[in-house]
Amino acid sequence: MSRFAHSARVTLVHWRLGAQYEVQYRMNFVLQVVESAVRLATGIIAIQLVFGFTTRLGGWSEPELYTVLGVHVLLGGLLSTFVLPNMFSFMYEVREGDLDFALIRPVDSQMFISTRQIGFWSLVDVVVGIVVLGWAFADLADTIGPVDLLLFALGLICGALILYSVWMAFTTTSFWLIDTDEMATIITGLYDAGRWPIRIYPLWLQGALTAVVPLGVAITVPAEALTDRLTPGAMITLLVVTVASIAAARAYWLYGVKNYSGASA
Amino acid sequence: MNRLLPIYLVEGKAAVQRQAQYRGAAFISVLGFLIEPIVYLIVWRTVAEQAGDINGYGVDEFTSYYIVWTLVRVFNLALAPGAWDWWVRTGRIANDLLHPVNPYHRQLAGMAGAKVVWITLWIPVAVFLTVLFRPQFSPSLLEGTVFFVTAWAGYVIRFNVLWLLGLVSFWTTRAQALIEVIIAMELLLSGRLVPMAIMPQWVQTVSTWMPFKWTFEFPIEVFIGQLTTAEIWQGLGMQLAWIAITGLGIMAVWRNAIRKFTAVGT
Amino acid sequence: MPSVVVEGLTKTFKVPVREEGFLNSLKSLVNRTYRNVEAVKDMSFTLEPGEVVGFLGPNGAGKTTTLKMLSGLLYPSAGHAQVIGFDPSEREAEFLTKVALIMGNRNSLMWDLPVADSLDVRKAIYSIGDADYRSRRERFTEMLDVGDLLTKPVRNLSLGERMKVEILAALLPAPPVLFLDEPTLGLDLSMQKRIRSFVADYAGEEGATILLTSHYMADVTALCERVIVIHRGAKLFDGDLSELSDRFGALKTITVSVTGSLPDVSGYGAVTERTADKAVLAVPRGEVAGVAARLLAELDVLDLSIEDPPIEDVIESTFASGDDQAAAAARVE
Repeated sequence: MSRFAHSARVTLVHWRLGAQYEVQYRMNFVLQVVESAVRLATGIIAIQLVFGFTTRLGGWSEPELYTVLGVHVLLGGLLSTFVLPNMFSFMYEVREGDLDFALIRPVDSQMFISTRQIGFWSLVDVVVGIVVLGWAFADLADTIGPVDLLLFALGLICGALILYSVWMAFTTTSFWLIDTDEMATIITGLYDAGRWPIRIYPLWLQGALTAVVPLGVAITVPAEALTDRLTPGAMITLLVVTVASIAAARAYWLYGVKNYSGASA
Repeated sequence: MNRLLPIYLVEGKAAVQRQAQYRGAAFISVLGFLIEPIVYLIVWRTVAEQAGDINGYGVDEFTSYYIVWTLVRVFNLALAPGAWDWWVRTGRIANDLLHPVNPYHRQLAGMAGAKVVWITLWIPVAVFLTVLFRPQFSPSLLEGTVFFVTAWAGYVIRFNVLWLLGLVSFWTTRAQALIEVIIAMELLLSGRLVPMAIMPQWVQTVSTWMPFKWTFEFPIEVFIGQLTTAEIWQGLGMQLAWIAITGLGIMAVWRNAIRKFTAVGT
Repeated sequence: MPSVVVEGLTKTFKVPVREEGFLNSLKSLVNRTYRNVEAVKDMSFTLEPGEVVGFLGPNGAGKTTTLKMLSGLLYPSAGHAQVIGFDPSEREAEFLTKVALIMGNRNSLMWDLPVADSLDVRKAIYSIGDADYRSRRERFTEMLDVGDLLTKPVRNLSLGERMKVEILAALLPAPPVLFLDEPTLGLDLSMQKRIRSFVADYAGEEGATILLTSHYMADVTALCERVIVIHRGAKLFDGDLSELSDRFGALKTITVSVTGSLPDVSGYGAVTERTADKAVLAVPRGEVAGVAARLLAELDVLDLSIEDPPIEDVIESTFASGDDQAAAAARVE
């Protein structure tokens, strides 16, 4: 079996066991529903407040803002389900010096530490995101064609991969920084900046959220696909950033592992 | 009371030393706190540019508001209810419960000490923000002093509210859901998301009777000089009242919360 | 007036039942079942002031649970306790000042700051007077030999050093009652000895009542004259240490390895383990010297060591599983 197929197999086992384990905790389910509802309500209220005073925010209409919110919640849900539990586990293990066993499995190390756990109930956010998008879609339906939908799907996949890569790179830094709690708050904060279309931000901030920590572009561009704002330039940028993020994160990870195991670079 | 003073002093001093040691990480934290207000700032400036003055808030007012927000935020940082989970899970709470002093005092003093360092780290950030966004305010020495008092009072209120929520989490995990809702209410009713003047009238009325506004918006307004002297006195009175109410609440709930904890232990 | 009175102390925990498999997980989402775990069952004993008593038992026997109930950290399910006249569950400030619980492997000092700073905080928390603080700190620092550690942050200390300063900090208020939970866990031999002698000195000088749990016999033999044995939450034995050795028919283990291959050694003693060139024998205490001499004379011995079996083995072997009748019969009030 190829190495990748083997790693994929292991990933599926991880996910199945993780889901199985968490499904038992109905309190977590209830909590998640409350959490998601509260976050959604806050997001909606913020948008409602803005549109109580204007009809366009930086040119974006209300349903268009909801599109951004929907993508934000959906991708956030995917992040919390598949990525974040693993990242925080790893950072914890680095702090405790418990790292070695994670790195000596006969599986690709990056895949192993990235897929060990699942935050199963965060899938509620994915559902919420889809609902919000569906609702915004109702208002935008006539401006969207099948090509837009396709580009949107592609954009979502790219967005998800970018988010994973950003977090992966950040987690790799804990090899050296050990204590990364503070930086984690920054990344989470930056992700929240993506609740609004980055086009309203000053250029320097847009640039930062596209090229340095591409959290913003990961959310805005898919939203643009659904709101008939997508320029070929933006799509290409997204694709380039996706490929670059994945490659950079992987290279950085391998460098980190090598360095950690004492192999000379 | 005289038993507590040395504890506060020594705990505060230790906290300052600790934070000073980790000032790199603390500075990064301070930077992290900036993202939220900058986003709000940009959004509302955009709206104000479009719509003009909003209930007394124009581009300049929003700018001043959210920049002072960053300082008040450092002041009102308190122990998150989530920290209780860590505290119990790691068994550290057992250590603290063995001491003949309510852990409340050590934590309140500790965070206060840490703040001293954080506020110094905030200063370069403030300079940067001022250069970037050019807010318009110039508080007098008196206003600055009053601000100082209201900011610390806001800290105690917020600390107490979050401490109470942390205690409530001992009762049942169902309480966690309640805690989420209350934190969300804080976001909307404290002036953290937007100045209360932007909110509908009924929301403004509700927020006056809740503790949240007195931890966030009130100090900000004192600083940017938006209040009359009468309003400032009233506000200080409200802050005092809320410190008393939350303090009494904690005293009432503490014994029962500990009962709950000691039934199960770590 | 006894220091510690324990009567019928019981602690039962409700533990959710968790089973394997996806279907079972789903089932428990809807229908959660629990089972009761009796950590401590009807425990009774009395300690007089100044007694140093060992609390022995294998892992999970209920030792730590009992100590936690006596310190006010756990609320008993039934029964009651009185420690220097206080009910621990009331958690009165005076009680907390006079009782110290030291848990092995637990860190209660401030991690990032020099030890001395944590001691200053303790002084404030326990309202220790300046003179008392200075004299005790100096005395304990010398007794534990931690003088050069006081300026170091706790995180830079080794496990043994951390344990020593934890004990120092805990004893600064000179508590008349001291509970020690596995204080030498994970420490090397010299550190263990140092801590034992310090505790013995403290007990002697302050006349403190000390209850010490361990699953190392050595801790107990060094410090205690009286021993309480606990097994699966229930008290098995309460009496003199010497009686314990006799009653449990103390065995010692001899591990012998030879050059070449090992012949049949069952004639020397009960063989508990065996490989091609090494064997572990269980030998009655009185016969150890004789058997060792014979082994050395009659075999081509490469290495020979004599040890105490761990307390779990002693208890388990004497009260083989299912033999609760014998266990009940052996209980000494």
